Amino acid sequence: MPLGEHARIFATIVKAEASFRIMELKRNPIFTILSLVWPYLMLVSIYVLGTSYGSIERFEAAMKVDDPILFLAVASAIAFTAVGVIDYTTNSILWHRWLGTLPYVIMSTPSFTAYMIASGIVVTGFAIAMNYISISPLILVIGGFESFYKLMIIVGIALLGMVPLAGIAAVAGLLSIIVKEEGNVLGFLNPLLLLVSGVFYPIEILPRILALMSKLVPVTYLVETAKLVAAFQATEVKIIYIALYVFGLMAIVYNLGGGMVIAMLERHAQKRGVSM
Amino acid sequence: MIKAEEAIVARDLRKRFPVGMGLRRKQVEALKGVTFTVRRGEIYALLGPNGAGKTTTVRIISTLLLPDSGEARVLGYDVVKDRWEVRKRIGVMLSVERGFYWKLTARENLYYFGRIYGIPKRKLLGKIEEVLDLVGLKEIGAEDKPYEEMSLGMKARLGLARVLLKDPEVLILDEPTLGLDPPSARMIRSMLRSLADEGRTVLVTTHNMYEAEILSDKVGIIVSGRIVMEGTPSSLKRTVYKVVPISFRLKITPMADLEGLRTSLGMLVEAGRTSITVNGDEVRLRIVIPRVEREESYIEAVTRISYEKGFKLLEARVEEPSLEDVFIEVSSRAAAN
Repeated sequence: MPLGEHARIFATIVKAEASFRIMELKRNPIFTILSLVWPYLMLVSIYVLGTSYGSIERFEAAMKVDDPILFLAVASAIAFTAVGVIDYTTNSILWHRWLGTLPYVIMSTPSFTAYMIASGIVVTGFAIAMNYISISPLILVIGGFESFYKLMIIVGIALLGMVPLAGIAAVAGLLSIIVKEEGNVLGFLNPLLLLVSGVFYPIEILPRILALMSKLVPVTYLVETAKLVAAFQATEVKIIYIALYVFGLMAIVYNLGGGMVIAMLERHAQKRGVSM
Repeated sequence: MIKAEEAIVARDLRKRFPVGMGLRRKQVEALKGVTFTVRRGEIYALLGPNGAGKTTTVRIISTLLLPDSGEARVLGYDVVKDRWEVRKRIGVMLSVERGFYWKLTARENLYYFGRIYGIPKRKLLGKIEEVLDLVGLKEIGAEDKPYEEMSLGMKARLGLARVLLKDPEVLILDEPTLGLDPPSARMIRSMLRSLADEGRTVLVTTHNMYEAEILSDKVGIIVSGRIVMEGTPSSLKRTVYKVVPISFRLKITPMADLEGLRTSLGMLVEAGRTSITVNGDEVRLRIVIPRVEREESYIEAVTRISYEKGFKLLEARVEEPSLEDVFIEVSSRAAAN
């Protein structure tokens, strides 16, 4: 099939999923309200975990940030954004499975992965938008326009940081269909990613093996960049660029690696069949 | 080589599924070489008990499951190699009860699926109204009802509406009337018949004998992963049952001679193939004749004998075995083998 046809189908799914999300927000007000409240709950949990070994000042010193509240807000947003692409992609597949809609959406594309990535992008995009809409007033009140401006920069970086995870998201989505205990795939992967990325604790205080793992996780660089932006020192702009290069490199490595595994997993999923 | 009039061709489809884990893991053979052909414009019913392999077959033909071996083609396209071409041309309904978003209305659900299937927005809006009308959801005022508030009958109609949204040449439906009330089931059956009359091909699975009998042009009886018998409902009956029972109701008149009737019938029908029961002023008579012989001549002969022996014929009826009889007979033969 020509590449243009693939692109057309991909765009069709993105548009269809977006129209669905809008309808869902309108039809399900409880879900909409919960989506707006959830980032604050995440913020509280990061705060509790982060300060569990001392005061806010200790946290500030340990995390090496000038504005801990801003960092907390941003870190929770990152936790949602970066890990969200895996979480939302996989959850959307599981959700289809639970609803019994999975076979019908699979039949909308030549490849299941195409649907998964297109749908994952939209679901994540909506979730991120909701998170930032939710958290923006807090940032504005606490830090004023300057902090809000920083947040917007971080949003951009966070979106870039998602790219290396798209391949992992597709693999996780397929695994969630293949393995019987699908919930465990997510239950294991996401907390691990958050832990090693330094969202909750500084990487330096993590056990050696986790600290090493953190070097391979794109979210780590995202958190580090967020810290730099939160500090917002001109001398450190160069380091932000370095982080962006790392994202780029990781995007290539992870997505190529993911692509190879995806083809195999998709065939395996088709052999096992899709349960309703 | 597939013939132009063949819409679905399945040849020697085999499928195994792993069951259990570790040392207890074993393979269960769900399909053991399923072969059948559905002609264009035909309604083909795959009839079988639970676990016979109906759903596995349907999922392979719908491109949702890869067979271990064998081949299946839809409108000439291979379901494995050309799955996208197949997907574009089929409409599938896999469950009556699930498969839609609970919070969205019928119309919104159709909009989402129409968009995902790539139907242009303007065309889709018109098509949604058309299919909502066609399946009767508008008539009962359910088009703007959230899916979670719909009855099973409404859900089945919506499922059929989604199938029709794509204007498919081939419809594949897995137990489309399962659990429905009689009016809804009748409506679904009549819709399927009209669609087949328009030239669309319908593959339907069911374990409802009545449905298979009245709906389908051709029936494939599937037992333990194999099609054990195939044909039109009447040809299946003829194949399985080599005899035809005919029953009569006779009125006893004052000149009636019951013994004379018995003797005359004994000369007409093979011994042991006649039964006579007296019930008040009526006689119930049943004869069993070979299927190859003409039923009419026997009815004429019994009518004449009855008149001569002082009885008045009230009713004569050729009893047909139902598809259920055929199914039970075939299943027990398959199990015995």
